Amino acid sequence: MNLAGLSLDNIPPLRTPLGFFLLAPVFGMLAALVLILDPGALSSRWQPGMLAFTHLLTLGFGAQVVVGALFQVLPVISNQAIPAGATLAPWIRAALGLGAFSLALGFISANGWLFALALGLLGAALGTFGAALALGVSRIRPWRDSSRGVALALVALITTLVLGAVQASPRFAPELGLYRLQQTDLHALWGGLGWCLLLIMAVSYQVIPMFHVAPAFPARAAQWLPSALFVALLTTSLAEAGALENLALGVGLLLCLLYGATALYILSRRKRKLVDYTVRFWQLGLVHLLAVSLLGLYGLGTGGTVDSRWMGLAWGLGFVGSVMLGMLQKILPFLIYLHLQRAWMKNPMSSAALPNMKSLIPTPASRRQWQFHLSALGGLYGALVWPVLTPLAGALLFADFAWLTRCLHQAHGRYQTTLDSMTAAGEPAPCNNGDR
Amino acid sequence: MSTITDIMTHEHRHCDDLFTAAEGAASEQNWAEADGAWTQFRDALLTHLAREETVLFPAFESQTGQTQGPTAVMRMEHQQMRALVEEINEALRNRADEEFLGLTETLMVLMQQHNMKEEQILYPMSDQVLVADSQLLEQMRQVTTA
Repeated sequence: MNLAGLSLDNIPPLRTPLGFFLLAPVFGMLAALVLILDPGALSSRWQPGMLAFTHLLTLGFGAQVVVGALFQVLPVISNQAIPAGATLAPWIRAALGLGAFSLALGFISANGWLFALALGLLGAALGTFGAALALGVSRIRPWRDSSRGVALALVALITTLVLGAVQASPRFAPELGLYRLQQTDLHALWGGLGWCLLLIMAVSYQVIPMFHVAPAFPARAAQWLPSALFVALLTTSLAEAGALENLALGVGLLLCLLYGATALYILSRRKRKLVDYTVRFWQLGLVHLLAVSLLGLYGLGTGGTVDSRWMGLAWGLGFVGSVMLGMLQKILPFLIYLHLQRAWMKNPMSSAALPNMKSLIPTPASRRQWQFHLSALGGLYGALVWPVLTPLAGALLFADFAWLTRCLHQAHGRYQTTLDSMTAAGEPAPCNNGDR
Repeated sequence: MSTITDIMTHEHRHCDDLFTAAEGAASEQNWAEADGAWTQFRDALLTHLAREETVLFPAFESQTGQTQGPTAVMRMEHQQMRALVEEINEALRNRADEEFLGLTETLMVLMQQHNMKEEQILYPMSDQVLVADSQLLEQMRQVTTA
């Protein structure tokens, strides 16, 4: 048997995922500031403020978290690391952050140069990341359900980016005439149902059973769900507007329902019944997934339209945002612990006491995060009904992300303090010395 | 005949059951039950680790000629788990529920990501390179630490 290249210890340096996680909430706070400063932002999906808000959350917060998490998760679910991850990560992070910021400014100022700059930066960041990820995924042997999900999510990300660039093209290259109104819906569909949901599916197959001692997802469903969802999206995109498009979208939404219901059921069968805010965030997110899917199906079935602002908010912050917040409560403490323990094992004479996971993000801090997130969601839904509440909703959302920032920095601070105490008094520096 | 993957994965699930029982009891401060369940878990875990380190890994290493590959990483992670088990023993003796639950949370995640690598990669590879004959399986069964 050829074992060359097989390593069960491919985890990246802590600074690789952590850099993304620490930067991400800043964009959440910026998105919240948009609502505070522009009380009319939520009045329509086409409002410049709404577009800036949406992209600060999806590209600024969401993409930073997802890219950071993928650097960490790929080696765990597949034993393959993202090639040159540690070198590429700071550049990708900077370009992604600047790109998201320029895009938001572009929407607000309607400045074509900012759009061109944003697309250049985002294309470079996500293009480089996508290429490195694709190379990593192509080396996975044997191929598993999670690997397939990640690969399909990657294609969805590229599609989302291309459609986004096409829709933004009138801002900086109107002569190309590429803009079509309905392509905005496809851009949102590929971003939401494609990139986000496919990735959440792939990761949940591994992490829900792993972190919560729950049963595995049914093997057959885990195998075909991502592919079926991808085909439904592709058919929706390629079909002419009409019956086939609606049918494909309906099938896609039914698959979302199936996934959401299965994941909720599996969580309910978990053996670990302790109070765990990661589980609550998952449940909140999955209930939102079910609600959006049902609303979408209702809209398709009745031929009516469902307000896209509700759908977008429930999907983006209710489903995807909740899952991300929940996962961060678990992943970050574990990563910090893992790196500290490895440092300690290289330096066993150190008297430093290792913090356990719950002392890195304590349960009361997770509880507070949960409360802030529920308040922010409530505030935002309220603001859709009573627009006068928009600045208040912005303030609640700001608190949600500010609390996350505080928790992440406190955990990181604890990491540095412990590492410092290990390397103090002339003890040899541990292997992870560069991980700050 | 059962494969190495089947047998060892079954041991992981058994450890999970004992672990969750101990953790659940400690969270309710039911210390008598927590003591019993934790002792059972600890014995099952340490026996499982010893079976791998003294029988399975050496067989895998001698068949593949690799001693610094996947098995070395698994041995290192076993060390990490043992260190945590020691700390948890101490927390349990002191009836320090917060400390106990913080440490068990850590051990649980460490154990699960370790198990995933074994179940998805190492055991299937072992099934390919080793003949899971009755002798090897019997050798593993004979290892106990309790």
